[in-house]
Amino acid sequence: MSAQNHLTLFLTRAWLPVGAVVIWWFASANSTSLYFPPLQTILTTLWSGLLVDGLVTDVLPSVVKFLIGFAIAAVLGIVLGICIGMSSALRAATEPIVQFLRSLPPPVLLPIGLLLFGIGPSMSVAIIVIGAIWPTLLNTVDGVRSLDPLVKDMSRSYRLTMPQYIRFVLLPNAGPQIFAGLRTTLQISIILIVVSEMVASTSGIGFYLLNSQQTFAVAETWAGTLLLGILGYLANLAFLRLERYVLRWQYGMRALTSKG
Amino acid sequence: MSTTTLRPRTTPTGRRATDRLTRRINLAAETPAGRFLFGFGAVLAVFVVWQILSVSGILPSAAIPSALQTLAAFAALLASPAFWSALWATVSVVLLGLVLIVVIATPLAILLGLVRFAEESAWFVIEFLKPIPPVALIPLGLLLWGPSPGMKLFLIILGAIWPLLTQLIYGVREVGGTSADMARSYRLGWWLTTSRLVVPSMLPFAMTGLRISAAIAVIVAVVTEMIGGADGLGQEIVVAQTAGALPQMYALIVATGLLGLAINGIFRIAEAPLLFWHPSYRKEAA
Repeated sequence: MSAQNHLTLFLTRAWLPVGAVVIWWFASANSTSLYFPPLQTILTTLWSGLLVDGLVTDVLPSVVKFLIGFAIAAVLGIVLGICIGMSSALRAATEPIVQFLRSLPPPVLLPIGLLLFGIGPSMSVAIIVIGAIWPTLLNTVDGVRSLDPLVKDMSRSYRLTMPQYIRFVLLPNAGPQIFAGLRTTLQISIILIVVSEMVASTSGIGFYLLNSQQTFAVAETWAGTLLLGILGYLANLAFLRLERYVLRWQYGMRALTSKG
Repeated sequence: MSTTTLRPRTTPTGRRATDRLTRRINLAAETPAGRFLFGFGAVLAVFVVWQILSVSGILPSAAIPSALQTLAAFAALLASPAFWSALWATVSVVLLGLVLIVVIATPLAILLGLVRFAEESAWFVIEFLKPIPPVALIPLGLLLWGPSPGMKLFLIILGAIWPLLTQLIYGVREVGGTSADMARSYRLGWWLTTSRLVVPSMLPFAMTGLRISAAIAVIVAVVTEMIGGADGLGQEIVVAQTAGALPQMYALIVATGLLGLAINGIFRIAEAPLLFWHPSYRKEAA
């Protein structure tokens, strides 16, 4: 019975995407249109051009820069968020500035990054950190502030040291909110790595993509777009796994008390 | 820092005095006037430090103009009609994109939220399209349509529809339970059910989703203008950059940030009369 349910679920979820790919494959098979090359051509370009020849020159540098930038933004965002969240004075002072920087569409920082760092990997990393840190920082501040005053008094009575207080009281309490912020930071990081490579780089998927567009290499443009889509999807999937692992105690607790 | 630990009685008095001072400062910062003063003071301090660092040559003048130069350029922008038309080119497409997003997402969310088969069928497609960075589609859009407002609109819709759609689906599911049973047993008609139950239940979700969608829409619009060369603030920034007009470029970047801030502000103002009854709002007001 259960196996059959799984099969039904799988089939209902699969028919639309599989059907769309099949239709795309056959509808474009004999396409001579300049802009819509056959799916087969796109996939062979993706495989040979990007994954075999371009793995080291284009795909890996992008992924590494993205991971470094995201890691720095995440750690810095959480640390600063804890500092700001614990002090009302600091929060009041930083609020207008943080709100402004958060509202700034991050890609407009690129020209400044170019002037300060020139063309290169350090520019991409710096742009990711400055542009993507805000959701994590703001959510950490909120998470720290949402601590029950009773718990706060309790940890004072127990004379928890500052590291203990942060590690065992503040961080677990703020965990779900921090991860919600990290998810947005992740999305902005992906956007920024792509844009920064488009505007100022001589390698990377973003560069490959814009370069193909400007040289009217249509199949390459489609292939690059497809690869970015797949990478974005995989990054999101990996992140959700990590979140489920780190917050596993939270899910258990929520299932027990059945409230959010 | 020191406010959170209770010191033993034997702490030196100097330490305790600083403790008391931090606590007093923190308390002062929690009043509305204090918050304003602290925030305003910090912004002012940033500008003053920026100006001092520029004038003394610590900040490289080849990369960062002084604060006064930037402010002057900003004032000049406000007086120039070209700036306002660029601003309008960006804002109008964002607004049109948001309207279309609402028009597309609402029926879709109702369908996906109510019909289980539709939801399961679309599950993979949505989960796959959602995390795709919207900027990845820019080269493809440029290839197919060139740098036109239509291309910008298409990319905005494709990139920014997901937050609203996801939130609306949550919202549709929220309708139901006890209040739906209640509406049925009171024999509320279609109009009363819709206006008193369905719309109010969905509104908080719609506002949250739309706010995130709006932020993404601005990002997509600006990037399209920067890379694709469509008219708007993004293009103005690139033009100022290539012309080496640094103060103007910084002023435009500040203007873009203020635009984002204004959009956030509009949502906050619009939410108050729409959602004043919602528990999270009542808690905030209390």
